Amino acid sequence: MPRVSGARADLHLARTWQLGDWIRQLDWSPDGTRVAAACADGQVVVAPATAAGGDAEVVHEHTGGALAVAFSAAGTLASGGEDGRLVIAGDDRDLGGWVEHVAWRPDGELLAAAHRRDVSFWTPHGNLQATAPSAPATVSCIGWHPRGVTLAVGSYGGVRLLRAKDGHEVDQLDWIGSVLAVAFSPDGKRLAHGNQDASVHFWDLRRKRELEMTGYPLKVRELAWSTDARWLATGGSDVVTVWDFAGRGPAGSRPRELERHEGRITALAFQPGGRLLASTADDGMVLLWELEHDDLPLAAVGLEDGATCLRWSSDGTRLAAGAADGTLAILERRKRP
Amino acid sequence: MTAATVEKIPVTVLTGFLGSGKTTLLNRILTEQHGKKIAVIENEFGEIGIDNELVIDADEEIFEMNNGCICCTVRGDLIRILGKLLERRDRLDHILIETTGLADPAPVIQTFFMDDELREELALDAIVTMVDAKHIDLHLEDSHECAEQIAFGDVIVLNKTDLVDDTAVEDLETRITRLNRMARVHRTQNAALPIDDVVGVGAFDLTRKLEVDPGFMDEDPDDHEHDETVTSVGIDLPGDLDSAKLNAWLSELLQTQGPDIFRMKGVLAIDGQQERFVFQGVHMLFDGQADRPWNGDPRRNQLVFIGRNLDRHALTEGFRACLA
Repeated sequence: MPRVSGARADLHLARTWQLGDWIRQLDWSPDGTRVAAACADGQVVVAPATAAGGDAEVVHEHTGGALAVAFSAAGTLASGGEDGRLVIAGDDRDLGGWVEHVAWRPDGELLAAAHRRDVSFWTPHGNLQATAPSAPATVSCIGWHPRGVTLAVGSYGGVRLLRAKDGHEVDQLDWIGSVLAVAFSPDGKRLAHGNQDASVHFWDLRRKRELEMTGYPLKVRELAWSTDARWLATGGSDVVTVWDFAGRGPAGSRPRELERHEGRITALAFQPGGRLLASTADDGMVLLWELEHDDLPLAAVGLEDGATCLRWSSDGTRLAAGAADGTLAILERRKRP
Repeated sequence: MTAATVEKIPVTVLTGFLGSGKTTLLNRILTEQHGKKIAVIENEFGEIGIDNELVIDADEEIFEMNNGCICCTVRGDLIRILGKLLERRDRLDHILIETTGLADPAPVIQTFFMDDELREELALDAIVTMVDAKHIDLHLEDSHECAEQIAFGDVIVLNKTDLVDDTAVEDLETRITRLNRMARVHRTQNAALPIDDVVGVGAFDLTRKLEVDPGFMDEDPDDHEHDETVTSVGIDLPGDLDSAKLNAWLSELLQTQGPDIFRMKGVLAIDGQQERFVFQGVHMLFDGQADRPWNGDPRRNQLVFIGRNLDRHALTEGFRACLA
C-alpha cells in the first residue's frame, strides 16, 4: 500500500467488495452498518460495513445503469436509474428519462428526485408530494438547504431554489453557463456552484452578492463545505483548491492549494463534525488533509483503479470509496502510537 | 490507474433533413457491423425504429459557453450522456449521433473540442450529411440549415437518386461540390452504400492527408452557376510562411469572421520547420500539429475554407502576405 511521506496518521483499507462496474454514487446508512452503491451496470448494492462483515447484496437492478443512491436519516433507501425508475424502499415507479439525482431532506421526511427538466418530491412511503415547474434545461445537480427549507436545483442558466413543501420556485440565481454541482454552506448563508466553463461561483444569499472564481484547468464538479462553513474545497483540477470564508471571505484572496494527487480530483468530503478533508482522484488515491495544520496529506490509501466517489460515515470515523473497476472500499483511520 | 494510451472511441455525427434517410442508414450500419458495440444517440423519433439496445433518446440542449460566443456553443445533452456511457465497463467500439433535421452541426462538433472529458476519450470520425436528391432544391431555398449541414459534412450521401433523372443528379452533385469541396460525395438509393464509406473515415484525423481536388485550388472565382452564399475557398501557394504573420492573420480572421467560417483545413510549410504543419478548425476552434517532414518535396501551403460570405480575393491576398 502506497505511503505518503510525512503522513502523521494511518488510513487503512478495512474491507473491500468487488462490484460489477464503475461505482457512481455511495451512501452510508445513518447507523453506519451498511453502505449502498449505485453501479454503472445497473445494480444497486448494499454492503455490510460492520466488523462481522459479509457479502454485498444486490437490492435493485436499473436497466442500463444506476445513477443515484441515498439513505434517509431513518434508513430508507432510494435510488434512480437510466431506466427512468425511482425506487423508494424497494417500491419503484417510472418517471421517464434518466433519474439522475436523488437526495433526502436532512430530516429524512422528504425525497427530491431529478429526472430530465423536472424535480419531484416524495414521502418515505413513496407518495408524490409535490412537483416543481420544469427547469429551462436538464437538471444537472440538486442540493438541500441545511435546514431543509429549500432545494437548490442547478441546470444550464443557473440555480433555482424550490420550496420543499409545495415545489414552488422561491428564488432564481441566474448565471450564464452550465452548472454542474451545487452546495449550500452548512450555515445556509451561502451557495456555491461548480461549472462546465471551469469556474466556481458563490452567492451570498442574504445580500444577493456574487463572486466568481475562474482559472480552473477543468470543469468543476466537486464541491465540499466544512461543517463550520469556513472552508470550501473544490476540484476541477489535479489539485484540491480550498477557499477560506473566514473574515472578509475569499474575494481577492489566494486559495489554499493541496497538491499530491496525480490525477483529476473526483470527489471531496469534509468529515462530519470534524476537521478532516478527504479527497479522491483518478490516480486511485484517497487522501486525508487537516487544513488547520498544513497543506500536506495526513494519510493516504491507494486503490487499484481510479477512485470515483467518496462518503464519510455520519459519525465521521470511516470512509467509503468507490472505484472505476467496481471496487467498493471501507477505510478506517488508525492513529499511530 | 488505467493506461493513458487507450484508443479513443470514434464518433460519427449523422445530419440531414427529415426524410433524407438517416434512420435507414443508421439501421444499415447497425445490422452490418456485426460484433461491434455501437451506441446511438437520437435527437428525434424517426418514422422507423432502430434495432439496437443501446439507443438513447436525448433532448437537444444547446449551451453557450464563455459569455455566449456563438463559436463556443456545445451540446449539453451529449456531454451528460456520453460522460455516463464512458463509465460503462463494456467498452463501446463506436458512437453514432443522429441530429434533428434542422440541427446546426457546429455545437455537436464543438462539444468534442470544448469538453475536457470527451476530448480525452472520444474522437470525431466524420460528419455524415444525408441529402434527399428529390427535395434538396426546396430545402436549400427554404433554410440556412440545409446549406450548413452540407458545408459541415466530411461525407455527403446523395440519397434517393432513383427519384430524379441523371442530369438532375449531375447538377446536384456539382452544386454540392461547390458548397463543400472537401467532402466526399456518394450517390445512393435507399441509403445503400458500403459501411466503410461512412464509418471509420477519419476525417478529423490530422495525420491523414488533406484530400483536395487540385483543380479546385485555382478555380475561376466567377464561374458560378448558382449564387450561393456558402462556398469553399481553396488557396495553394508555394514557399514558406512567416509564423508570426500567419498567427496574426489567422487570429484576426477568426475573430472577425469566425461565425461565418464553418470548417477549415490546411497543410503548411512554416519557415524554419522541417515538418509539414497540419491543422483544422471549426468556427473559432483550432487544432494543429507537426506532420511528416518535407524532405525533398517542394514546400507549399494548401488551405481550404468552407463558409458563408467568404471573400476569395481577400483571403488569398491575406494569406499571400503571410509568406516569409
